[in-house]
Amino acid sequence: MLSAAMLGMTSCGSGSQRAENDNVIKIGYINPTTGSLAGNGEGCDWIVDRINDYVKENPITVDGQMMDFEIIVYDSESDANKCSELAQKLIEEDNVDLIVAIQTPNTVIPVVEVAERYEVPCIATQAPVDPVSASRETFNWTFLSFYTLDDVYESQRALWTAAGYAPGSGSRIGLLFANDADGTAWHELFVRRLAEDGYTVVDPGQYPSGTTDFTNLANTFKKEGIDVIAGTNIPPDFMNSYNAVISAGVEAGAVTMGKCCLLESDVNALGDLADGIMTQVWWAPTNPFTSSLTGVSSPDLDAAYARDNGGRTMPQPAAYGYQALELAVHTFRTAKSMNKEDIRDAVAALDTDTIIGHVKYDQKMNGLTFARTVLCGGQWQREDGELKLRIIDNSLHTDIPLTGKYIEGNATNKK
Amino acid sequence: MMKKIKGHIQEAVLLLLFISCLLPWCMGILSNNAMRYMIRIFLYITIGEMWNLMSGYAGMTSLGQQAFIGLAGYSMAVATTVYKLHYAVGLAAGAAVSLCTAALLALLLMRMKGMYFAITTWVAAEALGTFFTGWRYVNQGAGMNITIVPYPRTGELYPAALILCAVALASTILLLRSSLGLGLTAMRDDASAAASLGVNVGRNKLIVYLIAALFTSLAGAVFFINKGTIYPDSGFSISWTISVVFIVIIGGIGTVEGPVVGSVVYVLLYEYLAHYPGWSNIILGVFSILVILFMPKGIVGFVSGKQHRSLIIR
Repeated sequence: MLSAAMLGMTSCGSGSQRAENDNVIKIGYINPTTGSLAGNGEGCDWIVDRINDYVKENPITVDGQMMDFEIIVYDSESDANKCSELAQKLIEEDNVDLIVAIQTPNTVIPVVEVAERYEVPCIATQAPVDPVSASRETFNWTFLSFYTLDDVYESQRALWTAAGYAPGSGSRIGLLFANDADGTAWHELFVRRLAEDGYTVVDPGQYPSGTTDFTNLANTFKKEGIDVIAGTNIPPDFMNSYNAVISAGVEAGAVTMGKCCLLESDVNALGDLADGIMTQVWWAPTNPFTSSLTGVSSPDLDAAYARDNGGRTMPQPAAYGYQALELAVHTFRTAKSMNKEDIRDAVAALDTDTIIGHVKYDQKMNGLTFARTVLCGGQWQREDGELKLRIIDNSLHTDIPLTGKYIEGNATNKK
Repeated sequence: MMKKIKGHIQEAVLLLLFISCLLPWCMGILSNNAMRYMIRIFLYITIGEMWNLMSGYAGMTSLGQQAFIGLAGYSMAVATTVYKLHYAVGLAAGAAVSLCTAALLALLLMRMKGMYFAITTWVAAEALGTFFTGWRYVNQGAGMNITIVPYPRTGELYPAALILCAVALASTILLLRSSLGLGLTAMRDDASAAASLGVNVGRNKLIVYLIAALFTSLAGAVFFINKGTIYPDSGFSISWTISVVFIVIIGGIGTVEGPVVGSVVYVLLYEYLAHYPGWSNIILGVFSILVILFMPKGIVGFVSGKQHRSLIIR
């Protein structure tokens, strides 16, 4: 049985060597369709269909040859372990020409690691630059587009200022960070910069992601007193920690939270407490960007998503998925050949307008080439009973229109 | 006499399998993808055989073998990434750390049986996972990227995984044929009766536990070389135990062939179901329920039962 299986599998592709007669562009895309990051993975099928439809109408020619186009999507189950296995499968079995690594450092870093090891071009997105750049010593095949943690800090500081907790005010910032890759990178930078800005840090320590008992953390906040809660968490961690903090009677004047407060579905799950929470806005339907590939503007893309998805607003992560696939199509439009070095060079040379803004890989951090993307500050505000994410700060990117002003909400219960 | 012939057939089949897996590699006709599948199959066979040896033969059902997978994975990661040592040294370090930990845990575990043993092994693995999640030296929950220069290619890991699997299988067969093996099955059926007949229950349990820890840790370390990254929640995850229980139950518990068949089925299913994002775990769950309902002795038990019945009818 073992031998038969093995002999059968000798025909399962020829490793990473591209067959001579293969005229298909294959793109691997690992998405957290299920698991704790499932909210971030929402809309993946929809964006894949949109890009496939576009390429069907506008075929890609590489080195004079018309190419078929295929996007292979696997579910990472939000599991870093599975990410690396699936990345290997994409490379060894599906012989992909390019990999898209997306959705938080937890699922981007393992895919980048495999892409680098197997020397396959990788378009990475939607993971802050700092933790990805710190994950290995050299990057020869990976190109990331997202913001840096300094951007995040400055964006959150602007939100605290809007809520009345400006630098130098001596305000007490309570930290909520898990000890995963994302939380550790944020934690280090926040502790340093908060001190530089004259804030008092209330740090109950990082916790393992998946912790359900946050009694100690809530008691620390209660005992030491805080003005602001700041952090980044996956939805279950934030739900559990925030509920514990509120149950302990902690009063906070502002809550800024990354990762878990991006989607209506995740925020609505918090109930009344979600009203007033502030978060990053990397993309919004009101952003003044148009895809140079498909010609679709941000509002049009959002309207199309809402039409096909029961009136839901297009999630920010889905816009980044769309952008990653836009970049992939641009890459093959400009690649000299299907040789992997030529594909990598085409990614490196990208200089294009996408749905999330202009992307040009012109910056470096610890050897990682990246493109810095837009970041604004937003607040969830209840209007006619529904929570809406409004952009209330654009100090880092003044070309993004504001869509609201800071207002107090249930999450900002400290008077 | 029949038993001897059966034993020789088992040896011949094992040798044939080993050669038929090694020969294509020597001839260079195996694709990287085929080797990727086979490496996973070999490693799951190794872990499955060890769990089967403990649970299926010695009556020691462990829910915490992932402790050795995680320990070996981290030992290997530290040896290669921090100390820049060859990965063979990392494998040896992983095995040594796991054996020492197993010896320490054995002081407690050898006094337990049944569900107390199972729960304690699980708690020990969870405790180790929690410790590693907070340990700064290994980068806490952020995990470690394994750096080996040059990184071993699939073709290099293939013979390592194959030899490990073959040695694990051979050791299991030899162990079961020895007086210790007879003692194990006697212990599983009734430990007190076995002890009254002169079986050294404590010694046998300890030997099996240490052998299982050794091979499980080696397989775990090779797994993580292949993955390239290790996190506390991947190294010490209960999902290792879930996978291995699936493999042994589907293949046939209490048989040497069971984990082999179970591993092939599991890896092929796992890889195939990746094409159904969002549905893969549901389909895997339904499949295991159906097998448990209609083939309670696993695939090997079902097939040998059918052969046995057809012989009686003839």
